[in-house]
Amino acid sequence: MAIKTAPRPNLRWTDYLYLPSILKGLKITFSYFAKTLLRKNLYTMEFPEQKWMFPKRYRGYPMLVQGDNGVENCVACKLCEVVCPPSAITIRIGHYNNPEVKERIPAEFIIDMGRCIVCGMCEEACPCEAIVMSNAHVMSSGSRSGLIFKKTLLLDDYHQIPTMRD
Amino acid sequence: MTTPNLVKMKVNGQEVMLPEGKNLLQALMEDIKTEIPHFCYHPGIGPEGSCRLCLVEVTGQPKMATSCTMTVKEGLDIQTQSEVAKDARKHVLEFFLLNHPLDCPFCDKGGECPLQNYTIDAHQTESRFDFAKEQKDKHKIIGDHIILDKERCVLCNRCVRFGSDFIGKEELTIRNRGSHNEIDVPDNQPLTSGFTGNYADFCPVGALTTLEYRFKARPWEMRTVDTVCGGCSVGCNMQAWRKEKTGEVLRLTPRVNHDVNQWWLCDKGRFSIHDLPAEGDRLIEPVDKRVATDVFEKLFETIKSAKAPAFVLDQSATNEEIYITKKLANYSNATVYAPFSSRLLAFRSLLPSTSLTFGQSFDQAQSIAVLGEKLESDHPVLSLRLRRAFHQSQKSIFSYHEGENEFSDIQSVFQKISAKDYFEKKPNVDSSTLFLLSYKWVETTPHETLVSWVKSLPESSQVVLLVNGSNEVGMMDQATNMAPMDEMYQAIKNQKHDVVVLLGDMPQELALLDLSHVSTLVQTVYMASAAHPQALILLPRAFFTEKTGTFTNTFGLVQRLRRAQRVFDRKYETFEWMKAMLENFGHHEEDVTNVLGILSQEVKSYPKTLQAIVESTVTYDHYERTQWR
Ligand code: SF4
Ligand code: SF4
Ligand code: SF4
Ligand code: SF4
Ligand code: FES
Repeated sequence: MAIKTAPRPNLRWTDYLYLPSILKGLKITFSYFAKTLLRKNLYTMEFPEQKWMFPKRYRGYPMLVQGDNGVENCVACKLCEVVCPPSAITIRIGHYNNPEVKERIPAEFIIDMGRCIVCGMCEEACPCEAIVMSNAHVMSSGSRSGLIFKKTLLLDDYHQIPTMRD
Repeated sequence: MTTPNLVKMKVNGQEVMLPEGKNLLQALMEDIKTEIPHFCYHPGIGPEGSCRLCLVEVTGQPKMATSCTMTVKEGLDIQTQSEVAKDARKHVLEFFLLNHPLDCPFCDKGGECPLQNYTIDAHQTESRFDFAKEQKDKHKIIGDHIILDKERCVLCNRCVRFGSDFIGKEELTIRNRGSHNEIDVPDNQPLTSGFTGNYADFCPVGALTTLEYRFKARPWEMRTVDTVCGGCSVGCNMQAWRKEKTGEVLRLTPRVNHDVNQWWLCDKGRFSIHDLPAEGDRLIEPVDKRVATDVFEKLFETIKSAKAPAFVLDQSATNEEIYITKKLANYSNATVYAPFSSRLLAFRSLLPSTSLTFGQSFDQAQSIAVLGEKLESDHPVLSLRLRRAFHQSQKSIFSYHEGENEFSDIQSVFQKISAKDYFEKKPNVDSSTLFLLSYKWVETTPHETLVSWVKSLPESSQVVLLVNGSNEVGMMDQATNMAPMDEMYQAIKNQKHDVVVLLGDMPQELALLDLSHVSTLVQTVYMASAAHPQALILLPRAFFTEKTGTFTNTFGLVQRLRRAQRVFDRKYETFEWMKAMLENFGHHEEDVTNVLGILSQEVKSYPKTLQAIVESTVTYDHYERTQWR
């Protein structure tokens, strides 16, 4: 392969002084400082009391979806469990009590949010649109066990996170 | 066996040598590893030519041909991967998918389903069928072990043919026409044969699955371990499927061995793991009703100081356990009792040694005679082989015993006859006959009668003794320094033993005897509650899927058991604690350092022919080998 030499920028002597650039930068900083003082255009917020609103396509932590019939969409096919790179998902298969509605549901569905890397592979693998990346992005807890989300929690949160889908 | 004649033919333009007369589909898959989709063909059940999925292009023929109904011939030129062939198969596949439900996510076959694989291979990603799919019955329980989903069925007819050719009764049938075609049990009669588990094995889709394995796991979560069934003396080869996360064995499936079980298992053996007590109920630590700790130290002291200890083996003792028990008995002046019968032992020595495996002898024989038992109840898988031999190779079947005729559905000779009458009358059978002689008759017939019977047989006939216990032949091979059970009952009645160590089942007769003079009764049990009330020391007991070692089956084949799961600590296994005890006794020889060492030692003492068989079936390295499937 031919070697291509990138042209160097032609710097003037003022550029070598650095000072004009620094002043230029400071001007921007101070202008924002002034705007904040006058309470125009706020760029930081009082987290966690205030929360960000994310666009719909934001990819947060995975949650389970409840179908219209009140049963989770998940059929415990275990594809998300096997595809999950950090093995954050654990599923135990169970029988649903009315096989006419559904034969198989997860008896247990656990996501260890301490392990989840929010990669979205589970959503990609799921054949039943049962696991989706929600807008939930804050996962802090005082203990590791607090980060282990059981099925009920995963299903509830889907409805509770207001920023999620409209 | 005669080596098949190799002939030259062309596959995809390449010249290959294939055995003449072999089923073409089987040859393509087995000998040159070409994968051809197929549903109705099964190596055990045979071809039918109804699914049309195995189409290949044959040069010189205007139309595609089904490879499963062709045989290897000199000069045949076929294309398996040409555009035309692939396209034809893809379109056949599309028809299978028209009404197929999209159940994969919750179908038990998912992950090991041929239909899934073929669909992916053919890039069949879309359906062009715009109409509503045919709705049929789902999750219909049709037997103690089997659940049917009619929508998933591809109508390959395997299950129907298995019923008619192997069981003697079509337990499932196809009914209705066109797209209403469906598989069902006639008159809603549940499946009752003792072989229903096989349906779930060979059904190429998830139409027939077992209740025991239903919704338990996915195939990729499990590892298979090659082991051998301990249900009866046939010793069917099987794979134990262990779930890696929990360490549980979830199902047993057959491993093909033409000399033993072919493709099948019986329900008794296959579902035996599900009859075990739940893992939480199992005894997993040794218990001494007097002391809390150091049970084995106490046991060692007891055995050492005993005047006349006795070790009692049961039918499921592996060859290695027998060997080490005898060693230990040597040091402690104990008597070893084992459930083998001296009559059978004497009879076995009458039989000429043969270099043929059971499968070979069976194939050579013109007729098969079953003497003394209903195969289906005592050695179930063999009845499948017999019925198939009648249908496929027109062998004549004879059976003589006092029970019901199990081969009434085929043209066979049956006579309700007692052992005494049989050996007196010696009914005529063909000259080239394979006799399957039950232990029941040998045990009840005087030795001289048997001697004269064996002498009267023509040269070309063969006799195979069918014993009862899963390792009874192994016990007979190592019978020196062991006493049969009858002697034990006598000894107990005479109050000879002060310490009795029961390694396995408590024999019925023993439970009835008065054991009050036995100062220490040691018993291995699955559950503490199942122990004899007088047992002082309880040791955990291992099921055959939890054992490492070998069984010698009734044909004299030494087969390896590999541990598929571990319920209790290794040091509590019979072999391990005995080894530790031997060391305490001052035995430091290498022969017992591991199970494997014993096997190689034992084999040296076997007759030549048996040695050859062992060498070919048992590989010493990779002892704990497991494999991904
Ligand atoms: S987002 Fe990725 S890491 Fe998290 S549960 Fe899904 S697959 Fe696992
Ligand atoms: S992939 Fe979807 S349906 Fe399958 S187990 Fe995961 S969430 Fe359930
Ligand atoms: S139930 Fe299974 S084995 Fe029987 S015809 Fe249908 S697909 Fe074939
Ligand atoms: S025939 Fe005997 S060895 Fe075979 S599966 Fe049945 S019980 Fe086990
Ligand atoms: S496998 Fe050949 S037609 Fe079915």
